[in-house]
Amino acid sequence: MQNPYEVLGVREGASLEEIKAAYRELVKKYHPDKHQDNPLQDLAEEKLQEINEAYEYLMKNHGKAGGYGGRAGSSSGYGGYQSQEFAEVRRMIDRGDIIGAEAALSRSRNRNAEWYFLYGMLMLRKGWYDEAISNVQRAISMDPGNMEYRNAMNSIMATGAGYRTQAFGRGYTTNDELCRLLQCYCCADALCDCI
Amino acid sequence: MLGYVKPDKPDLKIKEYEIYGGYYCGICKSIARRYGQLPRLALNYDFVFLALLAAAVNSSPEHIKIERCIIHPSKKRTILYDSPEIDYAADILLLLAYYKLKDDYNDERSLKSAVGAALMKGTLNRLDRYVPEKCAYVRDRISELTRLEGEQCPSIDRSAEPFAKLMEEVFDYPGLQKEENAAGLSKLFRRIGYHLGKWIYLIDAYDDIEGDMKNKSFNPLIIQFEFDPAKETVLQFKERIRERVEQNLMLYLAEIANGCGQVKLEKNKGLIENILYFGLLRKTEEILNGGAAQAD
Repeated sequence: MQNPYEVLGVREGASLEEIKAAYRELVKKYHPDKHQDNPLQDLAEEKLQEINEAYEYLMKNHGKAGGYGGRAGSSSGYGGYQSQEFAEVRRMIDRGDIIGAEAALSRSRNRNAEWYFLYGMLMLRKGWYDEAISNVQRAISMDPGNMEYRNAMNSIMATGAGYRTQAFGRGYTTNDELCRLLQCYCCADALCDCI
Repeated sequence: MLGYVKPDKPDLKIKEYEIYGGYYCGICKSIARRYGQLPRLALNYDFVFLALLAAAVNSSPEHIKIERCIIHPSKKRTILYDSPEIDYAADILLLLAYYKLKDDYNDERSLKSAVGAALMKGTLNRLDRYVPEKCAYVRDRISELTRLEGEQCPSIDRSAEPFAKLMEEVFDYPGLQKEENAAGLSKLFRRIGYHLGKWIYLIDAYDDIEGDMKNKSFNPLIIQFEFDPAKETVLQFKERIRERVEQNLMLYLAEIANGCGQVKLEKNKGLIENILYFGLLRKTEEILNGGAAQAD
């Protein structure tokens, strides 16, 4: 199974409401009624299946585990070699107890890869994405084989990319001559439009 | 933060364009009615988006007039009036305009900003009556912002926090409390405001790198990514940090779009989506490419 967060296009650690909203959007998009008698029908069905699986997985495991650990044959991730020390921190992050988790992490002397990873997840929750990226990157460089860290990083990046995909899906274009022309026209126009 | 949050005009429908103008003129008229003529000079596009979004949560009809305006006597314009959302956006616009002038004065000591800030004292007193909690909150965040600047804060997340919190608070439009799902809406609006604040702060910082270098002003990017004029030019520096800045900006935009996607929009949907997916992305790419284009 693919990373369910990526399938639904939400960031790791997204809230239940966000997951549900993303799920509803996607189901609408890939609904079989929309693709009847059309060459995309099979593809849409396949995609819908994936979406349903991802959604079920996240609904079942939300709040239990800190997120999605890379599975698919890998032994890392949850239940793998995570230390007991940080189990409580993971629970706090899941509950959204940012202050508690931050305090627990700053108390800890053990600044290993998992510490940086969890600190990064905490920053992600807070909306401090730059700190999130640099801490998860640090965790990855300290423990390059850990799939949980890599998956988290991929899902952070996928969120930003997902926005761009949506914009293009809605007809956003770049580098188009006409578009540039219109932009210039608008600049000139704006001069007499605004104060 | 001037003029970053705008629609992508070529992709607007004519109808949407008119409505957008109607909100903009509505804000101007609201300022004139409640604050007098002079503060109208502070008018800008920054909070049209807030008015559009706040008005979108209920389906109450808009009151539209087509009339002349003293500032543009030649052409009749679409104007929205009697809208509490527009009045609120006007209040917030003036509140931030006041602090912008004060900040300019502290930076440059120019006569223009000194006179402006002094003239706006009366406006500020009135704001204290209309939106007292927001005034106090904004004032405190602005002083935090100034403090972090003074400390040469080396983290973009940390130095952006007061402005993001400020935007979070002003997006929490008090009128949302009248809606059915008040708590949920207020939470969503706060989240949208927070991330929009971060986006504005970061894009402004990236856009201002050259200017801040020249004036030796505080810029968190210059400090966090350790710009060293002995080793690289300003343009090389901008190119070096571009990908990281872009990743951050895209994450903010994803969160803003995600938050708006959960608000049930009863009106202004096309306009709001245009700003979210076209306007903000266009601006982001323009500013990120600005550095690269000059580097070539």
